[in-house]
Amino acid sequence: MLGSVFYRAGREKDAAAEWDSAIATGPANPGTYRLVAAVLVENRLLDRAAEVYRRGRRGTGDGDLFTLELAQLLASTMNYSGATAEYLRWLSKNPAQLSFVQSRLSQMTGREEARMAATEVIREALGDRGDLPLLELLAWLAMEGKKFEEAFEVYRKIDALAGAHGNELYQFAARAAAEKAYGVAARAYQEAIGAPLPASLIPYARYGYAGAVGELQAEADTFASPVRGTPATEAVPLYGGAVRLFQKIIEDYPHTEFSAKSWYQIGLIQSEKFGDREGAVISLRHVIEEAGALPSLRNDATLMMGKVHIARGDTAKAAGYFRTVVAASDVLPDAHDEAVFRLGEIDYFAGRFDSAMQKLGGIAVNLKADYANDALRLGAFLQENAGTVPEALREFSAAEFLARQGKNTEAVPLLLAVIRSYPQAPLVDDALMAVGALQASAGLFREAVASYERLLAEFRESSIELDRAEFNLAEVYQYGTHEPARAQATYERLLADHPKSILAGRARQRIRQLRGESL
Amino acid sequence: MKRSRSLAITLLLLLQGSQALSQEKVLIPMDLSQTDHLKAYGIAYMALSRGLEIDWLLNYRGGSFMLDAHDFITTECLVRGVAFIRESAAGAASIYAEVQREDNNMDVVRLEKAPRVAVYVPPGFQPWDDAVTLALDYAEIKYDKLWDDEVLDGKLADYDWLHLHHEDFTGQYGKFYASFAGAAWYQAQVAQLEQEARKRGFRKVAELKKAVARTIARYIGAGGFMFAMCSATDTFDIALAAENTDICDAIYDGDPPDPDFQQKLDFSKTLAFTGFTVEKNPLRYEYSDIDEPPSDMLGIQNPETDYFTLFEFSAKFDPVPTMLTQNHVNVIKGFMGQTTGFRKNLIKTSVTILAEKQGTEGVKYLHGNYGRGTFTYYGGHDPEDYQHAVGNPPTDLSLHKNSPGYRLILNNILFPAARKKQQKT
Repeated sequence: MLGSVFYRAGREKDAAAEWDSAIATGPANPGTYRLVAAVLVENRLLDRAAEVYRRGRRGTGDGDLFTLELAQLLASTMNYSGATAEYLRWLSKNPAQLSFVQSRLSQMTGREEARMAATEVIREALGDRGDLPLLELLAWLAMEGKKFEEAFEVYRKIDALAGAHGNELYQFAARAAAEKAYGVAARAYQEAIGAPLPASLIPYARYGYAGAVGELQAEADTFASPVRGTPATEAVPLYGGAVRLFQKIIEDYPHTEFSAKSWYQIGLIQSEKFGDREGAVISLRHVIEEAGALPSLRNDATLMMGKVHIARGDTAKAAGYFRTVVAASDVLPDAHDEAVFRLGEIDYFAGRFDSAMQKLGGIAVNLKADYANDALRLGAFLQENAGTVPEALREFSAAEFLARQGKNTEAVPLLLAVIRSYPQAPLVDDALMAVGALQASAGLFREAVASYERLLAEFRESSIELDRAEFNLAEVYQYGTHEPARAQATYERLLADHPKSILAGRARQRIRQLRGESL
Repeated sequence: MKRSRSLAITLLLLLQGSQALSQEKVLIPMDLSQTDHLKAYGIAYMALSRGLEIDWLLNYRGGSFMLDAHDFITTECLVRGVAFIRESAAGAASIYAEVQREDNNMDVVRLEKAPRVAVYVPPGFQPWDDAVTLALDYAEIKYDKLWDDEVLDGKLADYDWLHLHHEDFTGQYGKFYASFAGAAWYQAQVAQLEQEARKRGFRKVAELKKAVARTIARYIGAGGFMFAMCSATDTFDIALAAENTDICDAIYDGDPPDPDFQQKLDFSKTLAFTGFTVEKNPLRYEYSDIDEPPSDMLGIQNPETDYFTLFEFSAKFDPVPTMLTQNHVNVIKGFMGQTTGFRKNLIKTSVTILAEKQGTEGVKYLHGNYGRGTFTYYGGHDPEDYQHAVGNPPTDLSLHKNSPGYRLILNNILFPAARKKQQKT
């Protein structure tokens, strides 16, 4: 304390002498050094406090004393390498305290320079040795910095050294996949499987691997765009790899949770990417009948089965599946609402508009439900048209049902006929919008442009879909005909004509995207 | 001869006027019809950056902007979601006539050049630490970051407008010691500042910060514009007043404060405050008695009743305070900060008070001249986050597009762009 008083009075030499004499009273006592260093820290003399601790090590002949104190001091003075070296010293004496050291290091590794300094120190300490805690630290630092390739290298060593038989690689792969680093995740899954992993973990790893491959293939899918899906001819070779991997899992682990999940993934790809409805029905039936399927998966598969049957034109079967979901005791609220919505859609396709509105009204009540918006939109459309032009609505719904089955060549003429036959019907602009969307999805971009332009020209005074028509038109220019200048001008026109449109925010984003600005 | 000369001048003025009015204009209204007040300032700044001149119509529809109609302006307004009105030449002339009528408290200020903007922030700072950078980023106004090295190396001369981050110029590291002495971020900040001070040859951080404050004061004196918020306001003045004394306790600089520091404060060196008492307790989260209400009284503030009121100035006689107080409302919800407001009786008489919390001693917003430049102080941390605390998430300004509190910040950015015109007498 006297030293502190001297120091604060500006008598630095006296202060230093006082602290030296305090240490001299008990040079072999660690407590003495701790006390003096604490006083120095109180006076912001951090470098000198560190020196006192080092002196304490020499004085007591114990080189491992004051490690945590020194580490904290060095981190405070931005000497991250020094701090890491002290934490490593602590770890070498207390190998079980890896989590503790990680938590202390994490206080500084938020800074990239600190993370790099710590990595360097650990690498040097490791040399060619196979020190498991150090490797764990190194891998953890790499993951913190999202350096997945670096982490993968380290986990390989950890796995070999710990005799983990791929378990460490598998855990890493799962974390990398969760961070959307699918490439490195896929390779890690593969190596884990080949390690070989314990038999109980292999199906998990194989399912993870197939999923990562599927995601990689989706990333490589350059055909998909907001206006058009990937044509089946391109999708089959593109997603075929993932399908084969899921099929192999089914062969090797029949009647298990893994086979059920794999059937579901195949069903999804068949239905949404390949347009193979018959194949999807078979795959989804396996999920529903599979003993190993979890209830939520079974309900999802039943819902999907209903949707596939709508696409096949078999609304009776579809309704059966949706009713099964509605009646299921273990169904989740969102899945329940979707099933009710789909039943409402089936009524609509069949021209039973009152029944449809009744079903949709039930979902629209809960505004937090995922399907509330869809239910409100369809409900309002039915209300507007069912009372005034039921015949036009019936033809329109028939056309929509054809479109849902992918029968665009039949749906488009029917919609155009509706426009011709009922020019005063409120749904005429909806019909033109539907025509434009179907043409765009079929790759008939010039025709789609003409449809949207017609809507914008002929229904400028009456349609409430003008903003959406302008947005869709801009999308066709952007993604279909690849005319960025026209696309930008059309988005700008939307903003000028409909500044309060719900699509204004997206249009602004697209303009900035087209201008090459960071969003 | 005289008569013909004055006729020529009149003709020239008429010609200029007719040129200005001969084309279509764009009016960016700043009243309640504006969809995004904050981005509107960005449009004005962009137009200035591209060489256009803008008329700031003080007190007309909340302080609207009028500029020549160019497609790139209207397109940009659309893209950024800023409401605008195309005005014919005749329509614009009628607006100008209304604004310039003698019996209206309105006027036109011509903005000519985009100010070069700098923000004083530490390296590694996050934009959400500071309301001004949030506002600049949101409004898409470009700015450079400066720190102690740049200030001391004379880089301020390259800028027209400087904003001080909520920095502590007293060298007490924000007085966070009592609450955060053990926190890693606090220790890292202290270490970094000590390292910087040593590198520049200062024994203490307080000395470094005082030197920075003096350099900034010289920049203002030479014609610069300085805007400060939160603790940068009072600590800046305290640092200037404490030029010849040590107000820092040992826990901050390793030696005791000068026992007579209060008597040694030199208030002639400060910008806005005088006669204040510096806080002696190193553990109290307060620098002086300037802050009103004091930080330890903030707990009893009620956000529901905390509002401040903008003063109204004569647009034709006091254009500067009028510019700084342009808004679509004149009662604005309050917000706290390490320095929330300023005690009225400690403000120099030469300073103009722009906003106060009515019925209290608290001033929220003030402006003054210093040498050939000016300064503006705005109390509080974040106009849309009542009680911003360390570690709080950033304010998303897209949810506060019409924030009156943030508008006051952006008024300051455009103010240096104004062409100086002769005062009416």
